[in-house]
Amino acid sequence: MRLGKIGQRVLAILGNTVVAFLVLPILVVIPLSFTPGTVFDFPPDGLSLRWYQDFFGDERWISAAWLSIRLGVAVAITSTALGLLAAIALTRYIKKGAFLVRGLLVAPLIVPPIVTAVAVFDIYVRVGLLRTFPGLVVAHTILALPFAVLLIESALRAVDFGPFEAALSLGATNRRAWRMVVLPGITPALVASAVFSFLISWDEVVLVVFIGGARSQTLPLRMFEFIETQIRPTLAAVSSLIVYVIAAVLTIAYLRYRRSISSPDRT
Amino acid sequence: MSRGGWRRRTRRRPYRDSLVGLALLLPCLVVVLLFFAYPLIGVFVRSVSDPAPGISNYVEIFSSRAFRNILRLTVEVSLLTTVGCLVLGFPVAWYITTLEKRRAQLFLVLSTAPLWVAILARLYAWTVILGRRGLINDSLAAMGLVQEPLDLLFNTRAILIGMIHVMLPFMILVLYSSMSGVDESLVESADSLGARPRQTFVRIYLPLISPGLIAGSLLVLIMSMGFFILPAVLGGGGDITIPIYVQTQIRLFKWGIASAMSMILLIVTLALFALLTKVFDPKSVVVGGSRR
Repeated sequence: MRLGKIGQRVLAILGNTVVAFLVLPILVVIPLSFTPGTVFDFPPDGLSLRWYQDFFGDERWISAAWLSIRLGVAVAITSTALGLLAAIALTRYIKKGAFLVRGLLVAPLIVPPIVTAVAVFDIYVRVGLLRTFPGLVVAHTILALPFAVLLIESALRAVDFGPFEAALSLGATNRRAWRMVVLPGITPALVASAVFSFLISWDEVVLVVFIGGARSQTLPLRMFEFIETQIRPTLAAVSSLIVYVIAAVLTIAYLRYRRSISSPDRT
Repeated sequence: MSRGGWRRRTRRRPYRDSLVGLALLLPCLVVVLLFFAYPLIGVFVRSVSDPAPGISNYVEIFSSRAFRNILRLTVEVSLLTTVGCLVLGFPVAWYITTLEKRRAQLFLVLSTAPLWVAILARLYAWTVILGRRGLINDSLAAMGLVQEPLDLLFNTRAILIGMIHVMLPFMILVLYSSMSGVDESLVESADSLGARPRQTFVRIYLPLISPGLIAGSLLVLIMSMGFFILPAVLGGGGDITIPIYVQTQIRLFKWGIASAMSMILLIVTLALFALLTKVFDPKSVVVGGSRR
């Protein structure tokens, strides 16, 4: 519903202000990351890369970041693989009880993270998975699975299985028919599931606070403990690095999207 | 979509098919049942058995004043966050629906961009802005407006600001998809039949987007109640919400009371979620969004 001229102008001001409220605070870390002093000085007296050196020169930061990357990749692989298997079962083999199974797999999305953390902590103490890499992978896989299953299942439902059956009746093996006919149709969903799973693990703190520790300190956990105990702006450098990566990815995605919507219009 | 082929197959070998299905589901089920569902039941059992069997933990929670304060703070902060997100999200979502496609896309990317930035980077930014030697206090002092730095950080208000900042993108997404699904011809026909803009808004537009308003609010409410990291970073010592309390009790190995608190949070969340699925079919978001 469009407003009158004045209304539209008011709406534009409100809209832009709120979007600025969303975006600008995050960018504050960038000037801070380049200040030579330990607190925010504006205008800054000079530029310095010392906080970036603090990050790259500190073994603990680097190993935390490296752990988070490995963890994210492991979670992306396991949750997408398990999600694919489950999605195949739910679309093609299970009729009765599919509703229940889906509910169970999606439940970690609804249960508050703190409650999941208490439950996972409890079982990990008993089976000895506390502060271990496999323990972190399993915990994050539980959180990522809902997205993997839902994404892949909806892609599988959109696949036309006619050619698949045709390939089978023409003598293709089951595996070959899957690879040649079904896989191309669900590849975007598999990629999306892997990316989502990585990001969920990459940004997860609540479970890690409970089940991670000194030797399994992920980047978010180190940031969390740093924020609680330190005032050095090393975190500004870390946060800025994160912002740079996200900004680059979003810009590329947006430009590609713009090209994709503008090209059909011209022809 | 032709699924006739495999339907025929399933009819031929239903037993084998459900076996294959189960085998495919097995890895998922093992992980989720063993490391999620089973210990979750364990949390419930602990809540009614530790330290003594019975509902003493729950009685304690609801009868003690300190506990009631924890519950009240959690609900209050979550409700205020929801209202804040509605008030701020509504104009943005509406504004985006009035833009042409390219600019709309840009605004959608900008307003959801914070979601992609690590939560701790966002919270750290707020500590930089609100801290005693932070951006706001520095600027106020430089302008000579304050002598002493204001206490903007480590209190309930800081939690609220952070919560609204973190939740707003979700609200905008839900509201936008609901608003962009509105059939403009309904609005136009109301206009052409002589309705005043306010009438059109209240009688036509608001009812059409009300499922989105309710769904967005419930979504924000549900997520806000479970927030742990945010109040831990931005709140002060007195700002104990349910998740914060649960964590401190686990640290002290007081499993019974922590489990009971977890269960209360879980039950409220599930009740709100049930309400959400009642008023709003998640699929309609997608349909509403793509109709434009």
